[in-house]
Amino acid sequence: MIEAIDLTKRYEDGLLAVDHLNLKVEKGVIYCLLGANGAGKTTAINLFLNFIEPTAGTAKINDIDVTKNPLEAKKFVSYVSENVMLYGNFTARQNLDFFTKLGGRGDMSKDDYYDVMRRVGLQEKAFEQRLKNFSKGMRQKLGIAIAITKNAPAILLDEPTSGLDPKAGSEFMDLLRSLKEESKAVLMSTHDIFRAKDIADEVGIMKEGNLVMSKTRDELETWNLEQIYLEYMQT
Amino acid sequence: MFTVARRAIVDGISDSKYIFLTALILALFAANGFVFSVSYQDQLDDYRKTVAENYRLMQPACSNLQDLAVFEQSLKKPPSPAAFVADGGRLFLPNVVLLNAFRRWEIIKQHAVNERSPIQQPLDWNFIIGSLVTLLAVLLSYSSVSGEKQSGTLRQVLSNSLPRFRFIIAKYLGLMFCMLLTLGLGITTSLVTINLLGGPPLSSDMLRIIGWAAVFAVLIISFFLLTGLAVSSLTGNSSVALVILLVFWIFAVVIVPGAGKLAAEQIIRVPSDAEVRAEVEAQSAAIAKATPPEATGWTNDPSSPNARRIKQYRDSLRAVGQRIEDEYLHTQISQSMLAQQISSVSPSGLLSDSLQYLCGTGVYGLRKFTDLAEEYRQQLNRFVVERDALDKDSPHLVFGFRTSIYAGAFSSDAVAAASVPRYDGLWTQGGFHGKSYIPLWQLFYLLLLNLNMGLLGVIAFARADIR
Repeated sequence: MIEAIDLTKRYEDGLLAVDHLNLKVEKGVIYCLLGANGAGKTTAINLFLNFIEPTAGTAKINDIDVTKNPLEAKKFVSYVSENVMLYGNFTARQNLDFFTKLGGRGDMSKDDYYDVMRRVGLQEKAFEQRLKNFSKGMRQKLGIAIAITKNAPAILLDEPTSGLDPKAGSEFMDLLRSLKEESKAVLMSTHDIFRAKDIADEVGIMKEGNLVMSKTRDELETWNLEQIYLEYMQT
Repeated sequence: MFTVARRAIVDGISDSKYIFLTALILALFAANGFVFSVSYQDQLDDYRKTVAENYRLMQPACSNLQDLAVFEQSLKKPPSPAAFVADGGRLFLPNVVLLNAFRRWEIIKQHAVNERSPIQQPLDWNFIIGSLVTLLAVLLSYSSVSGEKQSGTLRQVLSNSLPRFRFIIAKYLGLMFCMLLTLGLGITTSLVTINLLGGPPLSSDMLRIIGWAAVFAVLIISFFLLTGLAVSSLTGNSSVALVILLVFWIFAVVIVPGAGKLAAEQIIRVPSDAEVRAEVEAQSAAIAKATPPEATGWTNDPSSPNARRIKQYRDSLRAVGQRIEDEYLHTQISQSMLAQQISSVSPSGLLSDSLQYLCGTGVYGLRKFTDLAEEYRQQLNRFVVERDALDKDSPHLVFGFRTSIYAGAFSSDAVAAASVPRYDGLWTQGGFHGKSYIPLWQLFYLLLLNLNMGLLGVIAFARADIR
């Protein structure tokens, strides 16, 4: 569903941000991409969203080459950023309506939006409030709500839990599990080793643009992820 | 695309800058209607008074063709009923021609001071649209792309299956809707005010002018919006985009139109009054030198052979004086037109030029006024010559000076005042211009500017880095 084949990105200044990345995230799988700042995680996500073009290799969503057919590929992917940035002068429901329509769905009613917002744990009183005073946790929940209403089979999350308090972070993880149960393919970049270990079906570690390690949940049962991560970071 | 356009509309009309500037623009459009209605009525009264006075003074002169020929008429330029669209610097331009059947003697400024109007400077659509409405377009568009990029919403939007060109077109359409709302309300406010205060009726000519003025306004607004979108896409930073656009706006609205006049003064030099007088004197002296002394003299006997030679000499002097002054006038008009053409490099200058062309005001109105005055003088001259030809007792030595005539040189028959050609009838033939004027090259140039800036905006946004 989400696939990188020798995906490489070298910027104009010569920086090799992603170097021959190979990974595949199937339906119903949560893949966590770990790595320090500048490891190339966000660049990889940018490549999957066609925000930048690869120097070499292929990024695929639903078997569609993102570079060759970006608009078709984007029909099958939802994106939740580190700081879900929505329109502050719109209410939560208006934002949800705007992005749902952009996602190609014009058939949802007000009640449908309310149901989705309830599902992601937003308080009822926030539904018709403008976003200006929303906390980061509330914005992230709304970001997930947008991903849910788009109903895309692939979801890309770029450090979605950074800066969330423990309760909000935990609620966010529950939402991800529910998406997994709906057979979504989830690729999440994160710094948070513990949450990755908790939720991921597969974990990859990126360093200086390279995917230096990739392990399944079963393999991680016998490994100390924290130890491995620190070792890779130090070498 | 409709979703993004609708979003841009909501964003635009809820923007405090939009609300404030729209309120100011509407107030100015209302003031435009008020000032125009009051001053137009005064100008019209003044014009009618001048025409009536001119006609009244002409009556006694009609008792003798010689008196009629040298009767100095004061022709006043009628006020333009479309001056509320483009005043064209009315107060700075001459509006009275003094002439008789032999020559145009002077062109002077004789404006009625409007005691009731609190504002004497032109507050026309040209000023409101060219400065404030374009400023609003800049302020609405500068952050339309860069703001979304900086806030991060652009990534969220473009993570969907929305082509970039559609996004930028939708933004443009949304912002255009906001601008058209302001423009539409403004124009309506102005027209309603004029109507309520008894301004000129909306004739088909007037509607045509208003329609074309609206087309030009839309194009100028569109250009500034597209510029805003292009700069916003290119910089990706709202503050930088705002600074660039404000500098551009100052250049387009203030500096280039002003520089046009300075440049035109360097390219086409208009001689001073003293230089013109000296030239007339020099040329007259040359004619006198080349003329036999007996022809430059005088005789009280129209039947003398010298009388005909004297007439030829005097006609030559008058012709050379008229030619030099015509050249002087045409140089002045050419300089003003060149200034407007140079200013038209800037979109605001182009708007000003187009609207003045459309309304027949400014230098275009002056040119038409002086052309018609000359046409009228020639009519009057033909009238005098033809009437003289009918008089068998006349020596047919038709010539005269500014206020006197060579006594006995031609017929002294009386003429019916009603048969004398009238200038006011000549002016009103065929509406504002005598024929339909649409500033076509200006229209083409504005369309081209829009197309170029639109393409730049689309390309800039297509290549914009949204990381």
